[in-house]
Amino acid sequence: MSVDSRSEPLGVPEPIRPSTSSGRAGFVPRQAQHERAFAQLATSFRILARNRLALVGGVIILLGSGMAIFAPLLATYDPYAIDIANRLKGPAADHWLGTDFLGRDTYSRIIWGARTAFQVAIGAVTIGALIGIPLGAAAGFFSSWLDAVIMRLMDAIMAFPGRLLAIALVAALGGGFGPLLIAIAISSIPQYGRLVRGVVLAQREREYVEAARMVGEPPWRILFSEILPNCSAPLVIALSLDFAHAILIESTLSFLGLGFPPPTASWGLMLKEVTPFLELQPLAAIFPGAAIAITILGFNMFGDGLRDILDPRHYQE
Amino acid sequence: MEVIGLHVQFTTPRGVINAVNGVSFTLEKGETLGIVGETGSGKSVTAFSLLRLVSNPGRIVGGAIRFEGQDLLSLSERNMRGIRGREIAMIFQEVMTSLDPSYTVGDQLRELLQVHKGHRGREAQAAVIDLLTRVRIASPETVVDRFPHQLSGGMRQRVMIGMALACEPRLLIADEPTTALDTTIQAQILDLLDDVQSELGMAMVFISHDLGVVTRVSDRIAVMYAGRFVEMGDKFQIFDDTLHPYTRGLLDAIPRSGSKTRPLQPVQGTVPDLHHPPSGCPFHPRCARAEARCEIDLPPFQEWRPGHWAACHFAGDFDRSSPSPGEVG
Amino acid sequence: MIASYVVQRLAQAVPVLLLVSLGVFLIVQLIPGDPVLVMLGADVGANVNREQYEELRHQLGFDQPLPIRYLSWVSRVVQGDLGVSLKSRRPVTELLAERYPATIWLAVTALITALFIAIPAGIIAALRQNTMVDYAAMGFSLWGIAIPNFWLALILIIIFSINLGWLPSIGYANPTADPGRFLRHAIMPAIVLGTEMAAHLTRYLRAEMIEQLSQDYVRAARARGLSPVRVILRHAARNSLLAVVTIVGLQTARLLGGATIVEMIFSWPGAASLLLEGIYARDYPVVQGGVLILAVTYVAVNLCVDVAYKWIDPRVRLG
Repeated sequence: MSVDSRSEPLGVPEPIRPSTSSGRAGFVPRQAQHERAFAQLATSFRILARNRLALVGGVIILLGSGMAIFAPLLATYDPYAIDIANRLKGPAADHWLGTDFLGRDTYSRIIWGARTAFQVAIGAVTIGALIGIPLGAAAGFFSSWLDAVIMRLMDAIMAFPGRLLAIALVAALGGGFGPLLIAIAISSIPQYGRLVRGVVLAQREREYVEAARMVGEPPWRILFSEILPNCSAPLVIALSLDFAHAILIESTLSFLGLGFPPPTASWGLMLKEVTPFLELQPLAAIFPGAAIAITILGFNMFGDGLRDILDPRHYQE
Repeated sequence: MEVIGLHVQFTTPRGVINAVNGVSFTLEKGETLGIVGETGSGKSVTAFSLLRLVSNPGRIVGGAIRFEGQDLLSLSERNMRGIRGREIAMIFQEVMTSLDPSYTVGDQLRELLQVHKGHRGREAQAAVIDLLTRVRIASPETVVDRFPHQLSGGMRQRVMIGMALACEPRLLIADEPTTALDTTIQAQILDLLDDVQSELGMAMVFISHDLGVVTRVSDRIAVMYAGRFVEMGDKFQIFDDTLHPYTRGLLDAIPRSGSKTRPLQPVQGTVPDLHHPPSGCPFHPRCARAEARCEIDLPPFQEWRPGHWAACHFAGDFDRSSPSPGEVG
Repeated sequence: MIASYVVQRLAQAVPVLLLVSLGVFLIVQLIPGDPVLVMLGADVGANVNREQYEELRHQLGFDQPLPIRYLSWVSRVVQGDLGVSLKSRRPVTELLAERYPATIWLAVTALITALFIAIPAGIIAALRQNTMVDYAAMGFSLWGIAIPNFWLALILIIIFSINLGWLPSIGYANPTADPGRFLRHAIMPAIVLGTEMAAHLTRYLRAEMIEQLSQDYVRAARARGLSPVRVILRHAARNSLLAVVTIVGLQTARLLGGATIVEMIFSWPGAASLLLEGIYARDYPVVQGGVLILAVTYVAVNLCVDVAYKWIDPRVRLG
């Protein structure tokens, strides 16, 4: 009896994906697939390095994350330690960035503030994306009334001017970590929803989707194999920009007294606390604000840089 | 007009392209030169160079363009502007996008007249109506208040021609003006150009990829390939005494009336990538007649017969069964 | 045609407005604890007697099931009754109407400032692409988006009010009665709000300008011998501005969010800060009414801008 040489699988059938560089359907040996994945990753890094905007943004993000993660190591004082005798001092050898109105070390509070900001940002963005992406996919894929309902909901969320929704939500729910997460997450949902919906709508009519449907693939698997590759790039950009947005909202709300309550080390709250003392110690207003601005700048630069890289014009090379 | 050794380069991220690689020709008053070539042959770039409209990432890097004795390439930008629209005018292929969509046709014409001739108010309005009548637009009074998107392709082209003629230029450069139009409108526009030309004694450079259209309009034809002229002569010479294999290929590719059984014969192969042009003669990879030396020696563009130039080592030396100008177009 | 578009947009807006009103209504219901007690200050130790409690409860309709409460609230809103402020006992509508003009004046001043900055910046950046000027404009844009408006406000106050003493940091004057004083009070808030908007606008305008400059009609215009200045300003810039109108509208509407903070910092007596005051004072009818009105304004402005754009674009108007 002859052994069918084809009984051994040669590799994984590669779905036809018109948008990636090798638009061929066919069998690709498993090894080669992994190699290609690495090669693609390496090229991505190379492209990233060439784009200064994304690079600088990326560096800032890394620095910020580092501050957030290693806060206990980087801070010189306990951020909550009050020392009235030394209040409102300027930058000095013992307090690198000075002290606030309760004598707490500004530098340490800024370091810990990074942790607060990143915690909220990661949480809110994750929640927003986890809700928005499936909703958008469902709206695009299953369409008609579901689509209409979901889109109206998103429109309703977007109908609130920027920060107003977050303010209103936080006003109702009270301050603190949980309400902040919810408030920011809700305002983030629509952008993911629309993005994914757009991609799904565009891809839905393609032949490979039809083919997969005919073969009987369950919808969620089709979505997985089509959403992920085709909107991973814009998604990363949206995530980066959303991070920036989340940090802005958190600091705004904290500044208004609606976000984190004292004595949390939050950059926005620090600015609020400084406001009555502007005449006495104007410098104290600079550092927390600069921290917010630079962090937001970093995420924005990264997102913009990515967007430039992924601009179709670059593909032709 | 006299063009000598025009060189235009484009700097792309992948390298430098010689879009126009040493093009020379002369044009007498009232004469029409047709330039034929495939997309990417450099014919449009040549046209733009005549008006010094080549911009980043392209640059004119060599050669001379003489118009009525003046060297256009050495003129100041200001003086060049004086020539554009006045002495030399240009009409384009993309008529929809060649007119500002947010102004009415009348506004744009008036603007032109104001800038070039200083007409104002009622004087300008009358001149505009006059121009539109000249390009055979019925009811110019209504057209004047229309926006470009409200007009048909043929009308828009007439408006463009009107704008080009506003100052009675000596030379009109027509870059594929009929390519985007249906055949019947094409014929009308070509007629219009014909009449206008004889009326004004205007010279014309007519660019197209359609050999049939070009033949109808031109006195002399130049065939362009990969940035160079490969053949140039009057139209009878081109048809009866074809010198270059590429021209031969173009002629063979024309569907002929009356021979329904003859299969279409396109020219084999594709246009070369100008980033990596073939060595020697740029046409040799596609040429049935090519020999070893074609890959090494670039054939010079020389006058093989009186007034008939070609760039081929074997000019005219291949079998022929060409149509005559009358069968085409 | 335009009329049909207007109708279409209005029809779209209705469900959105309904959802918005529902959202506003529900948000207030989200308040943990018994809102009536909170409103009476029971959580901060005020003594509440049964009568007060019952009265307020009935007045606010809390003794009725949720859907009925919503419907009665909506019907009252539609008739113009937004409730009564708990603090001042005045109708919310009256309070809002009083303070709305100040917000509008601020918004207009901010808009003018923004356009003043963004239009030249965007156009010049597009013309001088990849030069220092371009990088400067893009840098300004990036920073403008990144710098939180409240920080900018504080910095400006530090420099101009505290250190230089040139400008007052709080207060307001009627622009029609005393334009000079109005401007003195309005400059800093307008700059804060305006730069935020200008930062976004500059990018869009620059991108649009670059797009327009690469269009065929620009080259055709040059071929006709028109001067570069004319081509740029009368043709490319004009088309860019037209395209950017919708963005301007969107950004103006977004000002409403930023205005809340700016009004608070500069003690500008506008409708947006009324909202915040309501939040601080736990004056829920004010908050509810404020959020609703601001959201409705936002939707309305967007709608107007969309329609206006369709009207401006000749391709649509006469298509």
